Amino acid sequence: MRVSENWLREWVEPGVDTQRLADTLTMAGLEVDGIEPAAPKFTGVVIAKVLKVEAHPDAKKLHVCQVDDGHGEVSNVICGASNVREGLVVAFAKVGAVLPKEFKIEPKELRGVESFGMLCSASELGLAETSQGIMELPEDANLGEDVYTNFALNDQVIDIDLTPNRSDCLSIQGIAREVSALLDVPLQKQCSITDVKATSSVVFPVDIKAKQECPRYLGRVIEGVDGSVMSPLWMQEKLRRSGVRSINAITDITNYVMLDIGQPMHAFDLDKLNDAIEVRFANKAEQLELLDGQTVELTGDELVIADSKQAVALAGIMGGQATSIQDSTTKVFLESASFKPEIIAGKARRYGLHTDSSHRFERGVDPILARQAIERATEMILNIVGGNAGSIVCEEELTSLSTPENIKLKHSKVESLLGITLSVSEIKLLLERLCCDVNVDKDVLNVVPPSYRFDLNKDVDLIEEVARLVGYENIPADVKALAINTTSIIEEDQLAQMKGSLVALGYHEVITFSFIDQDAANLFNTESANKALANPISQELSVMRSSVWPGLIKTAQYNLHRQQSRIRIFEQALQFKNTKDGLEQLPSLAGLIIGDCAPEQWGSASKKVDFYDLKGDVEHLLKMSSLPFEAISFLQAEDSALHPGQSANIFYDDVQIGCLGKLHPRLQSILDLDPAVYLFELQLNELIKKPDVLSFCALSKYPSIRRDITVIVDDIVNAADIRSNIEQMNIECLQRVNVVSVYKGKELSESKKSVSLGLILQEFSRTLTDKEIEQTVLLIISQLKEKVGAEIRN
Amino acid sequence: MSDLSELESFAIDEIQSLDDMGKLESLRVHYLGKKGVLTEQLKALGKLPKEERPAAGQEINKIKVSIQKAIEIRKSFLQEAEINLQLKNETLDVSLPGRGQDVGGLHPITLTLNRIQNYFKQFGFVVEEGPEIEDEFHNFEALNIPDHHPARAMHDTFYFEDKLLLRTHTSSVQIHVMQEQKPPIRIIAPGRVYRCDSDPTHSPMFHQVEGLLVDEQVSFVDLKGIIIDFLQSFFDDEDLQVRFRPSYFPFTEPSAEIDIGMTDKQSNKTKWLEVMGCGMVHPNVFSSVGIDTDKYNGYAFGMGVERLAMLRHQVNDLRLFFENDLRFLKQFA
Repeated sequence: MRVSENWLREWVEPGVDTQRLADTLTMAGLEVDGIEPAAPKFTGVVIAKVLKVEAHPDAKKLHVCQVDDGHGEVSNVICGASNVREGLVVAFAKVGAVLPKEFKIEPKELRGVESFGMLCSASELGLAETSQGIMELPEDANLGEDVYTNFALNDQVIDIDLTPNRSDCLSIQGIAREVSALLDVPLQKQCSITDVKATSSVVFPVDIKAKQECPRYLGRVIEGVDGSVMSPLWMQEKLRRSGVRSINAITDITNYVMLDIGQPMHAFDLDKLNDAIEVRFANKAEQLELLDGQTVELTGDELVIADSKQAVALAGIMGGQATSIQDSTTKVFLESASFKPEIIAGKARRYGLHTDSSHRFERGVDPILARQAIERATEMILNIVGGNAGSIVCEEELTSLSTPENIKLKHSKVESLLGITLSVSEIKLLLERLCCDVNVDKDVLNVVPPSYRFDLNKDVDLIEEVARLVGYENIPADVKALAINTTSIIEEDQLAQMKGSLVALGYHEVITFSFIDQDAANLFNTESANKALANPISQELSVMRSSVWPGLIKTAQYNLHRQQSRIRIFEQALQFKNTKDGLEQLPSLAGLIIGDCAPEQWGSASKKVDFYDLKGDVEHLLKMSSLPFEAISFLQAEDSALHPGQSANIFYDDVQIGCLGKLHPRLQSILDLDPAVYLFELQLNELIKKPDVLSFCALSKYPSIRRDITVIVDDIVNAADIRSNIEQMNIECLQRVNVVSVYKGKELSESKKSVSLGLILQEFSRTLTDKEIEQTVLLIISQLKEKVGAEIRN
Repeated sequence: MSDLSELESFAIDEIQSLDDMGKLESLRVHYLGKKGVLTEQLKALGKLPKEERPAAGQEINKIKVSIQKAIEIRKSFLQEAEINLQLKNETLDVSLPGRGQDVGGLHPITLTLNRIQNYFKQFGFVVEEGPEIEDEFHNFEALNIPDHHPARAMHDTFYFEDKLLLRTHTSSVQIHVMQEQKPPIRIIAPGRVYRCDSDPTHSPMFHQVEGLLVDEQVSFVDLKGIIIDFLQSFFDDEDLQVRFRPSYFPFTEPSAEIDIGMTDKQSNKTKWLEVMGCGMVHPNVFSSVGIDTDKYNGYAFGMGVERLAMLRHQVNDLRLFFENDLRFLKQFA
């Protein structure tokens, strides 16, 4: 909300300077976003009259004008504006004038004709961003007066960022009330009703069909107006400072009244209205061309103002084009109504609109204002545009009008919630400054807020008001009261440890968007459709990802394009999966590696990462998880995004807890990635559980013995098969089986490989005998012969 | 006798001239071995007259000890020289870099989140997380933001076709926690939040930390206390100016926005930067989760993590956090 300081000071004179005023507002919750001058400083510009306009002898577009500066001095001025004409009242920068941006006016010769001064456009005076032609001042403007003074430009515009609960402050009157309460100074004037006497018998009937939604509607006809009349300069200036464009006097007046006291109004051209006003819900598919030129098709839940034939305005939001005030308008129908916020809310946005009217009605407009506003506007129209006013037609449903209710405020609650001491009488005085009606009943204050404070409904609302007036800065701060009462020990955060491990392994954490491109999503998800946003920012950010990989890959691409050839990154984020059980949001930890295993090093040969580098890192993480590592298995995967021969799904018992592998060469090519990409993703819900309390197992005092065996097996037999077949034997003294080496080569046939195993044997309570060891090894060999067709290598 | 002393001086010279451990050992054998020169001399003692034997024996033994000592000294000298040579040969350029991985790093947002969490954990706040795809109840209604409330328009919500939405704040976690736990409650809820807004100063995804304390006898004084202490701790500045300014959040009443004062070095003026929002939990919120408002009250606060990270690390562009340029990330490693 943009507030002209001069206008505000017409309502209240707080006796403080601009900055102090702004600080006071900010510290009361009316945050001042900025203070800017109403116009940049300029001097030497006067209100003048163009006496004569002749064509420039040597330049088509220039005019040579005779300009009277209002004191009888006539100057020769060259002007290029197409709207310059004889008799026009203009803003004339005389020789010696200084315009904004230090632009000095000096005598000048233009194509052989001398020019003494300049006729100014609004933008040249800093009064508009852009303008077409020079400013046209009203004919009755005071010739000879300084424009800066005459326009009262020595003013500041205070921009206040109002919170949505303070609809009462959406007017100069409202801000003035607030200043009055905050600084405890009286208002200079009260908004009172001066009834305008009807001098015309014309009335236009009003019928409210939706009384709940429109509990009050006032209308009045004014005949004999001239729609082409412009509003006076002072009003145009006040509107401009409030950020409202001047259109014509009648429309300007309705806007002025809205800005001044807070009631949005609308003026119709009566000749365009048929029979009577109806306030009703829109008909389904009813069309309405609005003032901004767009034609909307209504759905039926919008409230409209209609005549006997059709909708003529979107109630509380915007009027229709067909019935708007035009230069030719001679009869006006003025509307001043109360609409329920709930019926206005959201409707403007539906049609991409946000008007001064909808902004106020969505937040609540004091129903008392409707009559004050229509009387004020009538009075101003009669003064400025002329005409004869008819009497007001008022339709209302008093039972539907919200009226403030009594709130019981306990003294003790004020003190306990705020943590400060305040007497009942102090609280009463503070609330009365806000124009609340307060009656004290022992320890309880009965408070009736003023009609415009829709935000005061509960005792806590009043407590906030008390705190605001006391000043938040005057409430002490105390951290000692925060005694710690805990029954648990903060466990070392397992996830943090895993992330710490990744960092130690050289990974950088990244954070990428949870929404991705549909095409990218499809590459990694063939199971079910990704959850799609109804209102995405762009196609690139339109579906929720079911895997973190697309984000990691995009990050890798970004960095590869920036000369980073070695990439190790991870991200912790949710996977969003549409499953048959509905939407699942699963925390996951995913990583990507590309390039060399280790940073370039003078003493080691460089080696590109491969599957086992990735797997080593993943095993590292799994060993840090809550799961027993022995129970985790890696099974060849058929994930379409990964290389079928270099990828695995990770299982704990029967539950898949993750997957890893090399990006499928097809995807690598689609994604235009030059180096091989290795990826992993782990399900954190499965990995991180409250750890069991670990129990100690006694250590054996006897030595462990190692025996190595080498077996030759078919290439398709994998290490896990060999291991599991040994484990199935449940040999008590077998502590561990290590795969020592895997060999494929010319001594072996092409479909064979040799695998060397290190068997670690130990009995808890005695030393194993050579014979026992020998027997165990033989047993294992025969098991492998039988189960995986192993031959023993000599 | 002169033979012996000659032998001694000759042997010692010879010992001292040797540079080889093997030769030294041969020399030892030559003089002191079972068939060594001096051993032979000792054996020959018997041929001397009885009265001369002790003196001669003593003399031989003295020389033996002397040679022995010379060999020991030479041995340790040679050993030392050998080690020195080895050390010399094995000397490396210690300035060359070592082998192995570089250390990676956590994202600056995570570092900031950790810092925030570590502060509040000290006061018994427990970290809670909630879903990012939310329903309207948890994100809005239970937080006293009914349908068509103007505050909803300020949230620029991402919706799905089925009325679900991406949470616009981590305040929704408050509701989950209060539905599941009984007071007293102390939680902080860090996480990703989403708003349908993208420009140089707004990211459609960013991070917040929400805090909630529900107990008996909680006041605005306590709220101010913990927030001021937190901000001064976070910015490592016990003189940091913190300002509470009335504001509006539907789920707290009274509500406040919190600014920190930054002194502009040139003008010496205090510039106030908004960093957090907070307030006393609105009774409607308690009612929506069935907490007795006669017995309990509480406070809630929320902060934007990117903003705090930017201020602490002087990051001047929000977008850097989500571009994940390794050259940026490595600065925080």
